[in-house]
Amino acid sequence: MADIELRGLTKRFGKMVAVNDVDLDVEAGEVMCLLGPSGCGKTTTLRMIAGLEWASAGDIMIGGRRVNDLPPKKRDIAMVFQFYALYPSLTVAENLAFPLHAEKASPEDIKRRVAHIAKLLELDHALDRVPGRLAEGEKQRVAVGRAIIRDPTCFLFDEPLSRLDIAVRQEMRSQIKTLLTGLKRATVIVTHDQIEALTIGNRIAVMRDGFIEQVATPHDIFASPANVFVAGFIGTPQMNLLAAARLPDTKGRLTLNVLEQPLVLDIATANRTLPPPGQVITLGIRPRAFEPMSEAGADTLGGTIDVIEPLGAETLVHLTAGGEDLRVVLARGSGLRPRSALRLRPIVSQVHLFDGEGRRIEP
Amino acid sequence: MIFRRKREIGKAGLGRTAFATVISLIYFFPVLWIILTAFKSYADALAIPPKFIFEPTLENFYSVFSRSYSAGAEAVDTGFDLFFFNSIFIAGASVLLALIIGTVAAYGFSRHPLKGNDTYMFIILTTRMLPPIIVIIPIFLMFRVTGFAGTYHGMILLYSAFNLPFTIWMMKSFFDELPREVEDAARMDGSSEWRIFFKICLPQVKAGIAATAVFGLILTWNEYLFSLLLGGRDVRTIPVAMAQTIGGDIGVRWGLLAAIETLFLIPVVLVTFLLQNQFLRGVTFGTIKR
Repeated sequence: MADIELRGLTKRFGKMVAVNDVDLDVEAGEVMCLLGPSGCGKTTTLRMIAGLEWASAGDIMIGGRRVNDLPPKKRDIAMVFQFYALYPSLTVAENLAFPLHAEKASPEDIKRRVAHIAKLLELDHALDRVPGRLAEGEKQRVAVGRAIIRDPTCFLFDEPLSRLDIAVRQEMRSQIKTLLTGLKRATVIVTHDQIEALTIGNRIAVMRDGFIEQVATPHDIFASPANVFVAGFIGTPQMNLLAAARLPDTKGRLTLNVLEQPLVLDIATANRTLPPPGQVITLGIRPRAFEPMSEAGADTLGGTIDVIEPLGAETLVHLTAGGEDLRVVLARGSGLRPRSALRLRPIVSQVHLFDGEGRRIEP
Repeated sequence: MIFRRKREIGKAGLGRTAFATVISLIYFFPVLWIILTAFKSYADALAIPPKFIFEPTLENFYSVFSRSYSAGAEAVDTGFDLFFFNSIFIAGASVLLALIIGTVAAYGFSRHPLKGNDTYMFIILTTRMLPPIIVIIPIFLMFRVTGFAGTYHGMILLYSAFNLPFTIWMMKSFFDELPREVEDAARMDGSSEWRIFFKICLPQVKAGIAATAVFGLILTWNEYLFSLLLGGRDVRTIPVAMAQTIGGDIGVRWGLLAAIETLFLIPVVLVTFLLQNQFLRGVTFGTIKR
């Protein structure tokens, strides 16, 4: 049984449906990332689990107990807030000890546990300071410390790293990952940063407009996105999503009209549930799933180079082909020139196909 | 030619500082004149041209509290010790009461809004939209029926009610500025709503409470009309008593009046001075976002 179970969870604000019939399981020791653009309902979902918003419909189960009608403090959860939400008038030590007062812990016990957390999170030096006098990274650690000091069934994180600058963020990311691995609790992290989700999460739930689009491991969500939205949302630079009309097969191989050029993909059509020829499908190819070719062929696409953006180890090339923009990442120093022609062959094993409704066509 | 800046950018030069000083002295002059007059003898106070150099005397301060009303008669108690007590007690108690009720109410309005919250807030403010001279008639009747006229509790309740709208509006804006997340965090950490209010929210609006208290105190301290019409004889406050002191058998005693005013200034100046750090933070609250 999962430690957090959501069944048909729905939240309406007036006529607006913020969270729509969400089902989700988070096992003990698992880190679930809720990922999505702003306004997709991920924070509302988290706040409903926390008990800071009432669910309009559906069930929230924590540790096998239905908690819909319980106030936050009775749900056995701890939360780290986006802006840390430290108590500004209390010192770091008092902030850490705050949740323990509700437990009616003894003064010795409080002292011992605060010292333990302070040591774990390297906050010993700051215990007597008020939050206003801490660096961003320290504030973040106090917020985490305040959550873990109570040892609840599950943890909730709301955009935990969004306020940190890049260097501190990377450090905190691995710290949090290590910490969560050690704690072995069911954890839900809300983020709009896919790198954060891909690195910290054991599984990712991609949300849009109140719906969960896909729940999968970071690898699966990248390798086989369930639909066009997930495909376009995960991965940088963004996947090329090209409208393609199906042409009659070439020797049993899938043939498409894409970017106003015919393209033969080495994909057998026999055992697939493909729409019939003449129908429009979406062809998804990640910018890194192209090979530059010296010669034209039926399995290549041609375009004109617009802009070249060096990314360091690689180079991002924007091409125009058939009036559309195509993003391609190539190895550094490929000797490319703007306005010159370039031929590319999609790597067939990394090509994604989506039907007219944008759903993934499984191989 | 190389132009060298002699002072830091953003710091005023000597000329501007002097100019500002002169302007502030012009503004401060009436207060200064009152304080000087308070230490003058009767003759010095009326001297023309005005005297800046004179022999200071405490005679006026003595006669604030005890003096003879006609020439040659024995000095009697003027009752001003009582009036000072009245002013301090009534102003202090009513501002305190308004702060207690107003802060809790403001928190309620801010955090647990009613249906039509803004309408309630507006109605609360309308009680302060009429000039006191209009409001005084129904209040006078109420005080007569309830027997509140001329009593401490009557005056304290009246001034509390008078301060309440302002306190609620002011404190609500302070609570509105507080990040809700902090309260959510406390809620998750197992705090009751009262504990959140006392432990988390109140300490954050300390500056706002100080600012509200100072405004309320100054307003109440200087109030004249209600005290005159409803205060009766024994619950008179200083402004009323002061007005009644003007005039007498030998014309206006300017020195005496100035002495009362000087004493009258002390508590307000003292309170404002003690709270000034909090107060300044309070009035500039919210101007710098986190």
